[in-house]
Amino acid sequence: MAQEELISKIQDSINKSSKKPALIPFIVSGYPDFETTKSLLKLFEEKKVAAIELGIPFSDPLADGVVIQKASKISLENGTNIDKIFEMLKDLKADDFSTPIILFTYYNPVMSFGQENFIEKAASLNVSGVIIPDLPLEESEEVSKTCRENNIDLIMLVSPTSNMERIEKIAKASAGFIYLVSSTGVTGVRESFSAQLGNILRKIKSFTKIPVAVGFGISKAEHIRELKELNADAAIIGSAIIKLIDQYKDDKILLIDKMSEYLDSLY
Amino acid sequence: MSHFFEKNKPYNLPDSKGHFEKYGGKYVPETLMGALYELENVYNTAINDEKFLDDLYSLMQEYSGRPTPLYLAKRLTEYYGRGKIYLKREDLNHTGAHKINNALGQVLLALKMGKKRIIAETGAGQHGVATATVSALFGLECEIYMGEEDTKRQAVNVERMKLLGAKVNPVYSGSKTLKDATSEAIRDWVTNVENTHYIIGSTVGPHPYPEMVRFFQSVIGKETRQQIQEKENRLPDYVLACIGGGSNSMGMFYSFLGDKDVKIIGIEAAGQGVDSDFTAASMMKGRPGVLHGSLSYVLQDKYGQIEEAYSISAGLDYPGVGPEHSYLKDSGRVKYYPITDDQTVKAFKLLSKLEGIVPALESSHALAYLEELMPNTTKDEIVVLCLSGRGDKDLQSVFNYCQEQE
Repeated sequence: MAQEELISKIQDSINKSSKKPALIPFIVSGYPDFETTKSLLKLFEEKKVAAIELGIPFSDPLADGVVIQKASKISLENGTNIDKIFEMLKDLKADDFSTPIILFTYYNPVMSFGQENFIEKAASLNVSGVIIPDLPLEESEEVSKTCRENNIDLIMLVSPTSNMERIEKIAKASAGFIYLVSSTGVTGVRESFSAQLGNILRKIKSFTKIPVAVGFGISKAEHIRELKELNADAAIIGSAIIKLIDQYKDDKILLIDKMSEYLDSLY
Repeated sequence: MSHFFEKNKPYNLPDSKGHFEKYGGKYVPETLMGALYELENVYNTAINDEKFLDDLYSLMQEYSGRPTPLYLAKRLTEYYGRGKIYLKREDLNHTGAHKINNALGQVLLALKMGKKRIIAETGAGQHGVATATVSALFGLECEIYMGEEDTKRQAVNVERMKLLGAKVNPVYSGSKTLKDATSEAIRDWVTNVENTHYIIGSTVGPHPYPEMVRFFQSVIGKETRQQIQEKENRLPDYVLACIGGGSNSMGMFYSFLGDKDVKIIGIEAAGQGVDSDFTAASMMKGRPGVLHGSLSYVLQDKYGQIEEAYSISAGLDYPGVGPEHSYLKDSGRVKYYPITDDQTVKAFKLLSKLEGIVPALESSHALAYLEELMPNTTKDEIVVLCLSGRGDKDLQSVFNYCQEQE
């Protein structure tokens, strides 16, 4: 059987990015409201980020620190749900939004929607990838299969505590990129990364050619430089962006200016 | 044999990946996977080491007072005028509840893994006290996560944990109860996994916790089985226990699951009623979902957001349940029934007056079910109920509840 080589839109976008490492911002959908989410998505597209991680807020975000926990809670209290997020993605598709979108979600909302329905719906709305932080390799078989059938990248995580054998398996199972967690712990700004980061990056790259993106605790230009030196392909920034939203959420025009300044300051 | 852990298996579950058919599993961030495998290896080695098991059981004897008595509650039996009621007195354990059984087992595993720091979540404070106790016993650093609401409901237990040298971290997120304390403990573990062991207090969480906690608690059912045979020369007709996450019940039920003539009943907390918005009846009102690392019945809304549970009992105030209970519900082997706050408080008072035993509010749920069960029993039938803990910690809650009702 002839194998059809599907090119990952996310991988392609990271490889073609003029920024090294390529930038992947994270925001929580509907935080503080969908108008802000849409304005930020437009800004990210203008800034030519490599991809966008769009968080689906969850009531019990185990892998998240206080900043994203709080944003998720407020978003949920303001009525955010999966239907509304899919509605927004439909509008983006109609507007020819071109930056690859990755949905970041815990597993229960996916299971509740039905994993097949969820992935098929996301694919129909031009979503390029999915990250499910509480779905490790061992539990991911079904979702992984559905993702492949729908040409969506299931992006898997590697941690400083993952051993060689796991790193190899995850590197081979992940699509789009490999999400390398910078250090043990939950999301949130940190001063330093695991001393093993460079080593783990090299190990991953010995197993696969797909890009490696580093996330958790990245907030400033110094971190970006450090990741460039370590030869990381992309940097994911979440909590630092959410903090900026917290700070300027009452003045949306100012928020976009400040976010623009912040993104420029990183390189 | 000198120990009382149940090694006979009624079925080969969980499977090697920790699944009870579709339930269970390991739904956790990658950072924890290495620690779960390490724990699984140490646990599997330990339970196949008869010396380890004998040492653990003798620690339970010397330190915690095992075996706990199987007590014939004569006046309670007379009150209903039907079958005989036996109480498995887990309330007589050191620290006042069954939680110490699991804490002792897990702390020995932590020592084997060389972990110097212990963390735990707690609802009613009983598991927190048990964990703080075993940490003190072995000189380990200990931090307990407890919902802020529960620190108020169970203030005495907070003071006990502090006295035992533990740091108590109140958790202010969500409903400020057990669910949120568990989430926060997992976040701590993700951060400090390299030097920390997380002693989960119930048969919940990712594999191997549900299996491991069941094993350490299986002393309850194993002892009961021997005791009832000594006293009555036969097995009971009914076995009852309350269910939050489900550790005292799994420990009690496990030895009887293979006896098809023994009817097994789990009692969950209905709070203000299963049709109210204030309930913790995850079996009756929930549907399968993933919470805190395993797939099980969970109270959730139509979008898969976890709902806040409610019960007068801080130990049952949890929107999920252990995965093995979900399996046993679906298989029909165990029947599950909800009991309200109101029924619970009545049973709390009744046992205190009739037997001079003040039961924990958790165990009072199981006692309250006797109102429904006993009229359907005959004089020659035998009911065994797991009295999982004592109720000294609950006096204030009951007092407040009764004042509100007036």
